[in-house]
Amino acid sequence: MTEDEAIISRIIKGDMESFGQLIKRHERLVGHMISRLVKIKEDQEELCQDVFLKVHEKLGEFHFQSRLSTWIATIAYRHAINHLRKKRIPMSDLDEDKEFKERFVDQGDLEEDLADRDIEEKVKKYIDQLPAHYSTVLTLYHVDGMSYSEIGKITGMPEGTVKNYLFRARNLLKEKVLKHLGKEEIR
Amino acid sequence: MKSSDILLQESIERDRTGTTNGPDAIAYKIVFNALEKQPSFSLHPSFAEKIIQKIKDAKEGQSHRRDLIWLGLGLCAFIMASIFVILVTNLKFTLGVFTFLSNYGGLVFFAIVLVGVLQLVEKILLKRIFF
Repeated sequence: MTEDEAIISRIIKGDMESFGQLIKRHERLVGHMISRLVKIKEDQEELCQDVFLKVHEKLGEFHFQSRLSTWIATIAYRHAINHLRKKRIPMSDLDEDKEFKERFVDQGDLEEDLADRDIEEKVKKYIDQLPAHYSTVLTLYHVDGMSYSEIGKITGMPEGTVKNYLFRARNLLKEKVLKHLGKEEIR
Repeated sequence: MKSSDILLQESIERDRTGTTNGPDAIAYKIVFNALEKQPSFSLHPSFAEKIIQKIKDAKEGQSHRRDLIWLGLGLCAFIMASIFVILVTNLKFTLGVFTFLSNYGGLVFFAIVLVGVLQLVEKILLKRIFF
């Protein structure tokens, strides 16, 4: 029996301490998903709570069709998307917004005077400015170490789309970094 | 996006310390390094405890609701059984032993008022003594 299987069986029997362990192990992943998709700070923690309440409710239906983390991330993703739909917050897509790239790259930096600060911190801010699907895919891949197929399962996107989103998002970030640093300076 | 760009991304992902240079490669290296950093989002330290408390509260609420349902069902069964018994035994309601009280209406009224006044006095006195 794997560790995840053991923990789930204890939770189903009513062991709340084990559920606490499960939360602690996955709260970072759920937090990433929610914070990437939902930008309103006040809603984020409540949504994370809802996700874990749902996980507890549906744990009996989980039969290891995927990794536990993938299953939890799927619940978090769907919950966040439903929340955005309910609040009628549109989720923009680069395909629908052809001028996004130009706007994104050319957009002046509000904190240009902080140019001396760590460029990587800047990139983290740029990631927040990307459409939610893109930043979510980037975070799942780079921070949470998920594979293309796992991200596909979570988001319901075909693997090819996941890959395409990743490449395009990184390309956009690269253009923005080039713009920020100044091509000539790097050369 | 150019295929050379895709190849460059793949090559940098494989080997961040690679010797590939040029502005694009340098920019990609910065991007890849930044991407691996944790997003600045943190949950309350007692986040897990809060959820567990919520689940416990919900369970208690459920059990309370279940008790109420049983109470309701019990009352319904009692009423139905009473109606059944009344119909089957052809029960007729009489005041029985209390019929004699009808001759002492004033006394009954006095007793009720007396009990009421005593309660009131007791309440006022208790308030004065203890509060």
